[in-house]
Amino acid sequence: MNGGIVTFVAANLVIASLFVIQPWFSRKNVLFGVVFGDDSIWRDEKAKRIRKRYLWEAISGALLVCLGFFIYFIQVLPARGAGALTSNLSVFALILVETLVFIAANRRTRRFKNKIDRDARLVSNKVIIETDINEKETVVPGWWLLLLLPVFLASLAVALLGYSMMPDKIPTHYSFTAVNGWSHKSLLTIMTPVIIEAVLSAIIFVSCFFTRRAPASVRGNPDAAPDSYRFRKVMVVMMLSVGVLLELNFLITEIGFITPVAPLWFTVMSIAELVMFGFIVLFYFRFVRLKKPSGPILDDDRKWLLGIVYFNPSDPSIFVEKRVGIGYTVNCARPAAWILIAGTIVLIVFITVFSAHVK
Amino acid sequence: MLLTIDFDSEEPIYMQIRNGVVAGIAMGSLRDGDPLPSVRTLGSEIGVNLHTVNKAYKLLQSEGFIEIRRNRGTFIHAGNAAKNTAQFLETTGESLRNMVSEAVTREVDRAVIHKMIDNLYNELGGNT
Repeated sequence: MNGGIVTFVAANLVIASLFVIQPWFSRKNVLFGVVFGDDSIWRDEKAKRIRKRYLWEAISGALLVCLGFFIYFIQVLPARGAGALTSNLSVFALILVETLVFIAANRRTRRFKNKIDRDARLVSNKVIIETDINEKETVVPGWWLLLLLPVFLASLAVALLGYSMMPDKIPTHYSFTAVNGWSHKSLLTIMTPVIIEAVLSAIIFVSCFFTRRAPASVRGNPDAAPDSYRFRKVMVVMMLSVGVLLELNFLITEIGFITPVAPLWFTVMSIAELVMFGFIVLFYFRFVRLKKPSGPILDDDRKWLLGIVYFNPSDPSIFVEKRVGIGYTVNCARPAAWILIAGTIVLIVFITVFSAHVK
Repeated sequence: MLLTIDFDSEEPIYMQIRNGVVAGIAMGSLRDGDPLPSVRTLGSEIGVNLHTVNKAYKLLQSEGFIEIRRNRGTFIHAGNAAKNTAQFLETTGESLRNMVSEAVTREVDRAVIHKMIDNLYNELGGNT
């Protein structure tokens, strides 16, 4: 079995598992993006059946997509380029199928909600706000985002000042144990990592900037989403830390142009990033999943199209906490959100095309 | 203090914010120096346009209930006169509203009411 198929199977398995466990990554009074009065909904028999059906559909959908593409790989044995393209296509197919399965579960949950007696704790027209919000404690200060700067500047300095010290042949690709790709030295080759680093750092900077003020996915009163401020703060700090770790990868690559570095460094970085993601999941359970909502809850399902897309023209927030899944999403009713999405896509396409061109 | 916003109310949201703060001052749950959330935070917490919050804050500022310090934030800065006014609005606002409402229904001219209030104010010894 070649490496292409292994990567393909691994990538699809990870994506499929993330989708399958999705419903468990929401606040306790949210089911498939639909909000309820309290967490007792999670124990309701009908809700359990909706979850079971979702699991069944999500797992069989993922298996079908993977099986289809796997058979294609075995039968056709595509060349490298076609293989990579098919792998990407399989990921898109998987995301599409799993999203459709989620939307179906969202519709079932909405129907179920309409059938049961209306919960008096769900209000459609009222929010209660605590006016003593201490912004110093709830919003990460803007200057913290500058933490992304030093490593970037260090990479830039190594690239520019170290250029004359770099040999003609420079390592551009590392495996777990050794260098497995070399290129000839040119200003463009040595600047490529710095340019990609700049793009990634810019995306992380903008995400952190807006996440600092993102409201919780469930509102209504100060106890509707307990500890959402702490979670938000922790998430911004984690995003910044992951950003700095990613930047260190590029710094080490640049240093590797001057003097050989042990590939172990990159492995250490990858492990550190995985540990960070583990912590993010832990924090999610600690500050979101295990929290019990209380008081009147705003019934704003209409603002969450298909349970996934947030669309609220009157909300000035550009980023909001995701209703399902860990992290934050954009308010699609804000033009700035579309500019950010388009900008991110353009930048990612740019670095993909750019790095392919340089190689 | 807890501020309640009712989206179905006939009262505009900026007036609800303003009245909520005035009631807080009148009842003593908001005291001088207490901070208010920034326009951006309050807007995203309620889920309303920033202009709406801004309008409420500007109104509160012009009425002397709050102080907006640049780069520092917004604070309650009512002073005694403003506190008394807040209490007066809180206790008498509704009956005053009913009276004006009746005047509007009976098509009493705005200037006549203004004049009536001025005369009463002078008669009862008010000198400002």
